[in-house]
Amino acid sequence: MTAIVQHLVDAVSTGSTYALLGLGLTLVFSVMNLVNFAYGMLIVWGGYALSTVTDAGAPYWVGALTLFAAVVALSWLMGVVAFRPFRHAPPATLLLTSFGVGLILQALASATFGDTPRLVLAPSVLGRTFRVGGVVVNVLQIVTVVAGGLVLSALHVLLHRTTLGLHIRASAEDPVTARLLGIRSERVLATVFVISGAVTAVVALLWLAKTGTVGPRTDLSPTLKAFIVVVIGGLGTIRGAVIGGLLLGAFESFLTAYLPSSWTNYQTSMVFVILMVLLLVRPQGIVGKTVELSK
Amino acid sequence: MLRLVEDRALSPGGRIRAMAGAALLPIAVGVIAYLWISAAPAQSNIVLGFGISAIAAVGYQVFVGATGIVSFGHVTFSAIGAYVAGILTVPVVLKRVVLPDLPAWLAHREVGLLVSVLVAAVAAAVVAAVAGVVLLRLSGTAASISTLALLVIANEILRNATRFTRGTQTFYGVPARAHAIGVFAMLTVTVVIAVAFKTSRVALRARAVRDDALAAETSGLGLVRSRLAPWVLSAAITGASGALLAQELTAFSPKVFFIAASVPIVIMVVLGGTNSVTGAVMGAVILTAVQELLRRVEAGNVFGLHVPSVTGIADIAFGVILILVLRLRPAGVMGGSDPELVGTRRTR
Repeated sequence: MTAIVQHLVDAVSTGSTYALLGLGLTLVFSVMNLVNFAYGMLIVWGGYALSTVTDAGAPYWVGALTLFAAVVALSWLMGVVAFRPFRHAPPATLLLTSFGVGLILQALASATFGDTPRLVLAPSVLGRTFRVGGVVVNVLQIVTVVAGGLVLSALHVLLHRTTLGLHIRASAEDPVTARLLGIRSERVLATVFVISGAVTAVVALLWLAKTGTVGPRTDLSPTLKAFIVVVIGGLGTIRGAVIGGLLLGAFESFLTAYLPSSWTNYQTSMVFVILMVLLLVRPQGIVGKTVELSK
Repeated sequence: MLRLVEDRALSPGGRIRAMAGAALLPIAVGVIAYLWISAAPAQSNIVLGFGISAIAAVGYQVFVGATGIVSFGHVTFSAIGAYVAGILTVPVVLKRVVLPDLPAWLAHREVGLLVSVLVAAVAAAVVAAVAGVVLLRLSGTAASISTLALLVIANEILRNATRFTRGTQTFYGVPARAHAIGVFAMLTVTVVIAVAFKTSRVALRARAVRDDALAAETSGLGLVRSRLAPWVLSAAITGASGALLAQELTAFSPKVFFIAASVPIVIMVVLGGTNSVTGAVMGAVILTAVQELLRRVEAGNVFGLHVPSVTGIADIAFGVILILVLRLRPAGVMGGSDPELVGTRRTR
């Protein structure tokens, strides 16, 4: 029983990280059908911003603020410079463009910081563990779940209780009508990249605290997780990102625990295959309304 | 003379003219390549590497052109091709050292270039057919993402199926059998097959689904069935290119077959125009030229001129080229078309 509760705790905390990853990606998708291949590079560049500042002797919170500013700025820059000119292009073109952006950001990171991964320090308090009735929990796990809840609530308020949110939802629902009704879609697009950047900055802090390293190629894992989360949950919906994230977290935690040791090398494959089978039943994702045929 | 092929299913005569017109490009490129290698044997690596990439690019175009879905997972099929060909071509004596745990029916077998390429193509096609049933049901963007997941799965299997692949260790002992005539003959055959497919009814169905899935489905075309043919053919061609690559590299590891490997192929096809078979070959020509130039820039030596060396400039340039082509000429250098060979008297 305790073992199952333990796995549940792990599943929820890992799942919260994945849900946040999916949120950052899905927000942008909802307004411009872009699945951003360069998404993980935001975390990489954020990681370098954080490690550069803390290596210079500044306290962690200064580094965290720098990361936040860097990730938001880079997300905005990507959106305005690289993606906005393509806003009327088909999704395949957008995907390829983001692939190119990822390539450039990766090459720049590798040229600037070298190919060897760097250590990223996190406050030691995050690693402190305590037991609650046989279940081991660490501070980072709690922080992750709390952060997930806070970000989600903040997004909910922003999207459903403000005029800006109304504009974003309108642009996501029907961009043409939204424009006809006087919504400045270009500005909405830029704002969404800023909001997405802010969410990504939060995940970046949690992700880096967990992995402890950053390198030019450490973008792959978060990008891939975010991709899988949004496909499973249903592209472009907030609920989909949350459900997809929690589901991926649950699969990973339970497979880690119950997979026979001879199979552990194939863990990622197992997770992906299970999720693929799920897609056979629901190609549109769990909360996706219809299969978007023409996309 | 040449004129542009109409983008529809053609009559038998039209298909043959289209195949002949398109074959002129790989034949011309092959002759130049052959003369080049004869004159400068030291550069045969570059020329053979180009030919093999061009085959992979044509294979990639078959899928992307017909379905409009961007795949990030095609490296899976080159990997399957390379490892299948590797297992089949390592000399029996050497197999005891390289792959000591191979089952007996494989350990005592050794085949030549052509057989290895064909078996590799079939193996890749079979894997594609199975994976396609799931992947091709998804909407375009979700399908693209899932092809990436396919590559991650394939890479994990390569790294762990030590008995067949040597795991993360280098797979070596593959005979260097890829030669210019073989590679460019294969490129020509591939182009002809790709054009024959493009001008067929099956491809027309796939393009109908690409352009308007709802209308196509309403007319009775199945989403998965229409996409499956280009996907499987594309995988077979890519598998064949992998088999050639194995016999060009002679030693490789799973690292060679990951996401980075798809970068040049994707850019070649975008450069040439995703809807054009000859465009894929043109894209391969252009990108290889750019790549060689940039390699010299990275080394700080451009045809004897010393320039400041900049590391990573190739990848940055690749990204910039990709974005600029998408922005300025989304239909690529060939404008999405292929040439057709017609007699001078036939043109009015």
